[in-house]
Amino acid sequence: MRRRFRLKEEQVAGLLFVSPFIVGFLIFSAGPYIASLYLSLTTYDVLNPPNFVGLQNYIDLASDETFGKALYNTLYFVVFHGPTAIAMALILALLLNAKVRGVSIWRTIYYLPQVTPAVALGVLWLRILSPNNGLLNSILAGVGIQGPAWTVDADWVKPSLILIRVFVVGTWMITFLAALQDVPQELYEAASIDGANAWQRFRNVTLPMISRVIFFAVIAITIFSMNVFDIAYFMFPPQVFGGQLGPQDSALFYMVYLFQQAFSYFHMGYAAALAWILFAITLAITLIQLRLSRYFVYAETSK
Amino acid sequence: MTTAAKGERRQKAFERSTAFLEGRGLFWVAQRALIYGALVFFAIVFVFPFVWLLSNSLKDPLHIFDANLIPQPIVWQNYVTIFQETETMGTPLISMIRNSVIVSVLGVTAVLISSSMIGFALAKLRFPGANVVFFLVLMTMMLPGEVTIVPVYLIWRKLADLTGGLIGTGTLFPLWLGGLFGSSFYIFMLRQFFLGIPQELIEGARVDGASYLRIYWQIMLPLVRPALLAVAVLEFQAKWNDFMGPLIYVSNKPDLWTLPIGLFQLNQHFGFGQFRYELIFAAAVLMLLPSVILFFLAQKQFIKGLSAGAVKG
Amino acid sequence: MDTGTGEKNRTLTRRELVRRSALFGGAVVVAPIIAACQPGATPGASTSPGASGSTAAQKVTIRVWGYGLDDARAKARLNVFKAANPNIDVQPVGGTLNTQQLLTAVASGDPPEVINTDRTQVGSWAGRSAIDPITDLIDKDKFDMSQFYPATVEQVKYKGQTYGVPHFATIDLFWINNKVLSDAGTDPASVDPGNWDQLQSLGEKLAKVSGGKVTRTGFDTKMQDGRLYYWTWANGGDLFSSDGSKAQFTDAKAVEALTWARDAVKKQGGEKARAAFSQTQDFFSPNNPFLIGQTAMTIFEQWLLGVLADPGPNFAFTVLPPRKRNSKDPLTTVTGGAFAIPKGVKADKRLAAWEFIKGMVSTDAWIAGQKATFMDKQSKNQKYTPTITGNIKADQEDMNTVYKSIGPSYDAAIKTWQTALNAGKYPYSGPVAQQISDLVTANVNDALQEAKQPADALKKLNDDAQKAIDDYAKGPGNK
Repeated sequence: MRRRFRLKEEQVAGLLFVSPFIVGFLIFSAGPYIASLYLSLTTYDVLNPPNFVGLQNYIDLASDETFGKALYNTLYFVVFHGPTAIAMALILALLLNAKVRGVSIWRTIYYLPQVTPAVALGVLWLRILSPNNGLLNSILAGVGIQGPAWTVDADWVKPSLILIRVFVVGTWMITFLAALQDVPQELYEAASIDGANAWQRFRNVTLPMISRVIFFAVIAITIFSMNVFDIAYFMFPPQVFGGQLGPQDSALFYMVYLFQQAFSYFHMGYAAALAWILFAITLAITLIQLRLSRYFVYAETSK
Repeated sequence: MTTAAKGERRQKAFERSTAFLEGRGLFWVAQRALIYGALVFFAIVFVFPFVWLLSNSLKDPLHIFDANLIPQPIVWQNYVTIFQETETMGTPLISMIRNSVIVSVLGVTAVLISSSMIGFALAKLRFPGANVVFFLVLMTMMLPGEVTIVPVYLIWRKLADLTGGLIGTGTLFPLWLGGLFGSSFYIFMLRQFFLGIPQELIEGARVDGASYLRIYWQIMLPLVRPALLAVAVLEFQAKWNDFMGPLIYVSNKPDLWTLPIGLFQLNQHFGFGQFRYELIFAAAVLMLLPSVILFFLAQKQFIKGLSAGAVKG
Repeated sequence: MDTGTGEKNRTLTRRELVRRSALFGGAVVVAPIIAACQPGATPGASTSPGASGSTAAQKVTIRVWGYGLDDARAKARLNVFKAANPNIDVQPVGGTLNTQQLLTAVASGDPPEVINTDRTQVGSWAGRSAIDPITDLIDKDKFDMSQFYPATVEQVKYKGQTYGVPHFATIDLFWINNKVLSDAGTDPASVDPGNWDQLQSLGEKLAKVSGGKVTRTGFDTKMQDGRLYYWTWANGGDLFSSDGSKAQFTDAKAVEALTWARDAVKKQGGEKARAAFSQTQDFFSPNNPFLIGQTAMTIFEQWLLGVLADPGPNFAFTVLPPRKRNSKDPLTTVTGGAFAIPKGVKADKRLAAWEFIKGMVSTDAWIAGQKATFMDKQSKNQKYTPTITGNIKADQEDMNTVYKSIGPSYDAAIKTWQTALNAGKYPYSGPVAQQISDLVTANVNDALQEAKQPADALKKLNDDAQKAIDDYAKGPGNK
């Protein structure tokens, strides 16, 4: 009798506690999502009533070359940005975890790019990457390498963006550092006694112990990168190369194309369809990653 | 001196000379040198944008972007001019800072309370529909919000009509009020954190007659303080730097401009062709300082907040 | 340099756009949303105070978007208007006119009373019923549209109705750096903008290229920045049928023009090298590339004068109106902004909005603005160069009275404006203007960068442009 009463109170409490989310979801998510799903089946310019066209927008996508280009650019970014960003964050975290002096200063320094306004970063990077007189190509020339035309050559635009992004990893660095500090010290001691060298300790102790965190980062960075938006405008606003984002649309990312369709061309219906396709692709990738995770993520037995 | 003593001394000398082979020896020294070398290398690369920004914020228009990292001459005046210029623009910098602080503080508070409540319930309470709610949380994380901008705007517009302009478009509310309904990412993160707290704590408190609200407020929240701090740091940065929100909701209300939108307008204020980068940069430095200071002060807790939290899955 | 803060956003140099856009990474996010950006002008004086008589009793408040009070000109113009219309309270909102914001405001029935938009966007707004025609207001007051340059008046029309009032104008001119040409043994006076063979060979001769790097551009056709229109017109062709319903990018004249421009840049090191070189330049600085001889000859807008005036008052250069090919006849591109009244503005406010527009573009207001700008410049020890307001009388007053000679090159340059303005044409400004403009630059650059043959790029451009027009014809919002 008592137990039933308690359960009931727990249920009520639970529902009350999550009620803000439910209210918010119903007002600011569900309605707009349903609206956007419906709009994806229409042609709509905001100012005039939507015109139902069935699946036409989705059918048009199949023959839209720019859509293909945008998707390719985005996947390219996802594939190369994810690993480089994670590697950089991990390297920094490992360095900071090596019992160094002044750790809070180092941490703050590495965190700086994360909070530096893009206003500065954009201007700065254009100067650094300028093909003829930029700092990077000057350094490369110093060691006898002729640097590429980073900001001008269509083949080098995406690598440029990936390079820029590799420095904005403060949050992940901190996340990895937190995970590293959680690895029980005894495991390292045990490994040392077994004669494991530094690399073996990293490979067999550190990596498995933080594999969950890395995996979390992989999924989150993938989702964020699929939605990459500002970075392209950051350096290659469409006015610079006319309607192109970067030479030959090399920096036209999916989300940018979506925005262009919605707010430059007034194709709200088409943009809505683009959004749902992006959602489907992101979901598919995430599910595959989740499926693969069991091969890579070390399962902690208990805590 | 006995041979024994001699032998001992020799032994000690030998040990001294080979000390580098173990413990804090040469290998250790080399390793440390390598580590510090790497730290310094990365520090230079990572701090460069900031130093460059700071440096150019102290230059005069003729020397902006020149090769000197230490400005010649140093123009501290830029940091005064920025206040004067925003005054002539009609929206003083102080007013922008005030708006940014309002939005950030209210936004962080709102999101902390709601997301922790929701996360707590999802992690610790059994109630009908919990799985559905959790699924919806995950879903909203993945769906791009961009296409809902127009419907959401219309909702705020409607709210403005209903409340006679008190809430809704043309006020600061749309910039932070959404936080009251929780944010998926933080809900997810805090839920993971709450999962790590033993269920027995709740059971025990229940036996002592504590209400769920009290358990949440007095027992749970203190335990997840680091995670709350992590959320606060992340959300503060998000709100402090938010450009899209103010652009849509308050850009035609100059007295409600926040820093990012205000600085964007300032950029245009100088008129065509006059970019006054040094002033924009000075404002940018002022804008990034709170984030840096907050991080510097909160970093230890921040790390703790992440270590036991969401990321452990 | 205050060169009339009107409508030049669309026509900035690439370099400048890079700088401007890189400002505020976050801000830049909105670039696509801000289709028509007009930092801008200011309120002005009503020449017909009596017209506001109908609303004389009550105070009416109007909101003006895309129009700030940032400079002396803006303030002076508003003051003139205020003095004549004490019953109209103006709330100007500066910065850029945000397309997204305007869309939602109009859709939700609460639009601003006046917008200051790019003229190329007028057809887009009109075609989607975001702005109302003002023909009735013009007729009511017998408002004289011929006080503006013909091309600017044509551009604010859509389907026979007038939707806006011209506000600022920007024209392309042909610029020659005298010293660079003389040093190369060419008399600057011998350059003929209508002689394409001469331009191409001079471009090659004047260019400096070594080791794949350009250190001087001989002749910049500006084809990469949307000048396909001008070069095709100059060549005797057109990119659209006269009613704007048919794309004609495959016109042999267009193909010839693009091929010629591609070859011109190819002979000067290629488009990639040109772009890389342009990224080393600081346009708005004493090191302006034209001023310091990094660009020998170029097509560029008239406001370049304002950039040159302070750092180079003694600079010797030649400015010519661009011409038709193999002809002495002038021909140029005219762009600019317009005031318009959104749909859904209530009747009394609409009248007040109309008074505002008339007041702002009146000769009195413009002249007050010019004088105020002159004083402002003088107080800062800066040179004053005239602006093209769109109001013919005000512009003549500006050039003849307000402007004080900076040097012979400057005086001569300003004298060419009138000729060019009378020979102005404007790019496609129909309902899918933004899309067409994006398509033009994208495909033209594909050709310039030699990713495609000019004919192929224009074929693709033609197909896509025609599709955009046809899709719109099926219904707004149709893709």
